Amino acid sequence: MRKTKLGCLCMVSLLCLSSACAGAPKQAQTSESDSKNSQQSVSEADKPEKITIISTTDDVALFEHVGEQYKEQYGIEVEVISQAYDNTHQKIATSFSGKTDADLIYVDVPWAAEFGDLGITMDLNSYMSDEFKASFIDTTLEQLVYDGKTQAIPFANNGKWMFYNKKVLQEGGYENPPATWDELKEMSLDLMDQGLVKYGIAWAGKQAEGLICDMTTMLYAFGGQWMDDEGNMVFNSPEGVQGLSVMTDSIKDGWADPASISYGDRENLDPFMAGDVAFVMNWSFAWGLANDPQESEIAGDVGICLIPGNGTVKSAAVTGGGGVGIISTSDAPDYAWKYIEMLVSEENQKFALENNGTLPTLKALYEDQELLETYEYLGLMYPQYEYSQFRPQLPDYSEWSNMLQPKISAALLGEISPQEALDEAAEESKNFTP
Amino acid sequence: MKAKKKIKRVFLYAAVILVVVWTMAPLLWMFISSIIPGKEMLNSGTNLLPKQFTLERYATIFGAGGEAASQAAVFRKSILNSFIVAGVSTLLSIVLGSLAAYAFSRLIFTGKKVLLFAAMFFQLLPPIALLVPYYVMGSRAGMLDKLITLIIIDTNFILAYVIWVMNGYYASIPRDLEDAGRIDGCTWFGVYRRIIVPAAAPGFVAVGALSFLMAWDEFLYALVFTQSDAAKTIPVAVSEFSTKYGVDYGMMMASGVVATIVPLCLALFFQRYIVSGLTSGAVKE
Amino acid sequence: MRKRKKDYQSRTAYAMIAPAVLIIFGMGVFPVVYSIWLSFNDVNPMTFDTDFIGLENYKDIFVNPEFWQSIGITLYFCVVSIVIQLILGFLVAMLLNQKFVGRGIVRALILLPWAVPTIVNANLWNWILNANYGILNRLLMKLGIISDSIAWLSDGGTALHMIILADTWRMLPLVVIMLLAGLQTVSKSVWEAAVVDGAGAWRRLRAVYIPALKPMILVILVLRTIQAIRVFDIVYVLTKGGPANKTMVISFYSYYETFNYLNYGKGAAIAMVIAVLALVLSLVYFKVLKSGD
Repeated sequence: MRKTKLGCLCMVSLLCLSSACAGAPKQAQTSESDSKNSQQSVSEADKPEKITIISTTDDVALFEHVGEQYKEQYGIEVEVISQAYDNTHQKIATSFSGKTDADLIYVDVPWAAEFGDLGITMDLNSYMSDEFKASFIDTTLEQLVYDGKTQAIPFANNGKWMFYNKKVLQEGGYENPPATWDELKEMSLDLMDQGLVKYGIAWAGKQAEGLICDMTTMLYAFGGQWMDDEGNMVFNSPEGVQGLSVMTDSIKDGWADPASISYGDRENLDPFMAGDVAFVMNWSFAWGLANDPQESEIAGDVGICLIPGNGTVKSAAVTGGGGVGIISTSDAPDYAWKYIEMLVSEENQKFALENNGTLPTLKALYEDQELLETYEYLGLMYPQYEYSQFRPQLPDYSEWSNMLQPKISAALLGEISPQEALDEAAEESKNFTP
Repeated sequence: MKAKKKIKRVFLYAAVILVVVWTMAPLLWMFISSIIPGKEMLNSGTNLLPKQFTLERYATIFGAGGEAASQAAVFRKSILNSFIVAGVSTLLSIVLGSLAAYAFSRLIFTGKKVLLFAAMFFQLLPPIALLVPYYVMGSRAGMLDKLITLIIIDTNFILAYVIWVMNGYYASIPRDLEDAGRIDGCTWFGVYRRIIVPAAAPGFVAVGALSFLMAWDEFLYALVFTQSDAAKTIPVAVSEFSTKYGVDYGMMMASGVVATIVPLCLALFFQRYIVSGLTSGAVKE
Repeated sequence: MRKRKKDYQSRTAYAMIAPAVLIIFGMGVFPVVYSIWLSFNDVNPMTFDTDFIGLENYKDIFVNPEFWQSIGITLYFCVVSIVIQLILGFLVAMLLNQKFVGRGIVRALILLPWAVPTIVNANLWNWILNANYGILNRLLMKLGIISDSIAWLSDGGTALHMIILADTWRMLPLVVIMLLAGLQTVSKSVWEAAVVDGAGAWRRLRAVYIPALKPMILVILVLRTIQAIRVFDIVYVLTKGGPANKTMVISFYSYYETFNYLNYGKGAAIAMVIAVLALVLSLVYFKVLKSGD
């Protein structure tokens, strides 16, 4: 017994030693390449056999598509490891602490600060030319910057939009979608009375990240904000309470699908696609899905409008989307960067738009007339960007979000009032610093 | 009197039907759901059965492409992984566990009680209690995302179970046989190999089937320790049928049906053995 | 001569148990000791460097109401699911102990849910319980029992009971089969004697069945408690601990704390508390088992 234990200890210390040795020269290497202009070509000697990318199942097809081009050009295999979105954050974090040999990782917008803080992703500033930087829509890049360091390069632009059932609104006698939440409520109740839908709206009310997204939208739609300029959490303001109250009241008063509390931000599309609710807030891919006659009952009847405001505020929407970052333990960061360059190229963003409904992050594509004509929804979606809002950029974002989710969930259940929920959350938020 | 008996029979059969429906309905619904076309899955109407059926999802699972093709590929690989993990750990546990159980049951040696108790003791720990040290050890040793890691972990918890059950099983084998063997000059190993192993064969089948089922079912460790299709087992792959199209209930049901076939067949074919395997630990008390 | 024989036997025995014992101890004793050590440390998730902080992790856990809530929910889950499964299991076992046409087939079918892998079972119930398109709501509406669909997983109380339902569907066969085996040990003569005595159903139950089934019931209690404390898969699929943490069982809580926040020291401490809890429960049962014999 003692022997095995000793053996284990030896093994462990050996491993520590070897990893320490491996770590040192590599650090020197990166700082060297930092000082040089990294745009220049990379020596053939460092060329890896393959690069590995950790992705969500949503983007596998795109990453593999780009991987084929990459292999053709550089002769390097690209392996895509994927898991469901809900598992991705945990998988990246644990695989990093488990000394992964992955090179690239998917970085969802709210993770940038955390990954940067933990040192999971490396700073990409030195790789970017000014021209490259300027080609992106500002917010898409900005939200992936933490502490002045660019943690990932955005390949997908996203946010939540308000989708509505055009046919139902027409039949109900409405020409235009609602501009305020009051209007949306009136309209919902009326459409339900007329027997056109079962409920007005379905929220993403499950105790999960989607709930924070809906909360962000509602917070800003009523003029609130997560943090003031000094970084104090101020979301328990009257405006914030009002925003959350719309959600809680909608369930209590019966104009939102009561099952909202168990929907994630994918499941809440189901009742919309079945024609059971008139409105739903969802990500850009919802357009393609709800218009797919194979999957949806309401294909062809889907409308997009600005997410309503409160009258004073015109609209508000949460931003999303994702980037790809280079993991700081990567053996071949320079080659990993080449993959990123290829991924965000105009050509591949067009491919992603066509196949996944992923919105582009490059300004140029929104000015491409041909593209705008083929994909009318690009034009329909563009106006919402003006009202985009970030979720808080915190190094402990996941922990903060997990603290907040059950509180808002409890408010939706009617166990505590919106005021109590937000007060409690704001109190606990004091332990989190941006 | 006769009428009363008749009413009793009616109630009896009604109860039996209720039990059968309760048992079978969810299983049948899993299968039916797996062949409902995509659009009809979102049917909230009161006509419960769909108008059309499709085998498309099974085609996807077995490599014909489709929306969920990449997850289906992972799922196909996971079937093989599960067979390897469950098969190897079952085999290892039976070979090592039954031998140890024999020593515990028949031989006299110091520390027997303590060792037997200790072996059981760790079986009582919830897996979550060992997950953290395993994870830290595993990642330091570079053992993540490998089948061998899952095999070692599964073998560990099955082994204790095998010892427990086989220890009881040997007690039911008469000693006369072995005594004869001993007199003939066999060593303990010889007796074990020539006399006990054949006599205890039904016991091996019982614990073997149960061990296989346990390993086939294991989720928590597989979830944490695997990352790519190199090591993902069926439970992990089944849990990941959510796509950009949301939670894909249809594929979850279809892959669920496939994942259930093996244990279902085992349960049906080896039913008699499994029942005795489940109860023999208890009967010993 | 005698002593040499005994030595020989010991040596053989040690050789026979060595491989198994090495695995069990290597994967048991060492990790537990290591885990205790980790629980007193702040562990860097990237380098695994440890920083001794004494009882800090335990203090953190014990002052956290979420932790106590999850212990409470776990115990509730254990008690309610086991009681329900024992009662239902007894009724079904009594039924299958009667003589009727097709008894063999029914006894074979009853085992099937138990063969469904836990995670598949969780997916299945997630789909059955889906608020709008799940078969349960649609069936109840068709039968006119409810008029509006019920969001089974949206309410804290119902969600936990739905988890118990899903668990019960899968685990009931185990209980039934074990009790059935126990019932078969009740000899016909004892039962007939009781009938002749004119004992009513209740008295027959107490005088004949309960004593005969007692050892089996105790074993089921131990087995199911050990399993129930571990419940993870169903929660992982159905609710992820929500809504409002109302289904946050201890296994899921521990998993979440450890792997989402990469707090291995605290995770180890929670694991140790769970281990102690599980062992105390088991010991209590063993005591009861022993005294019952």
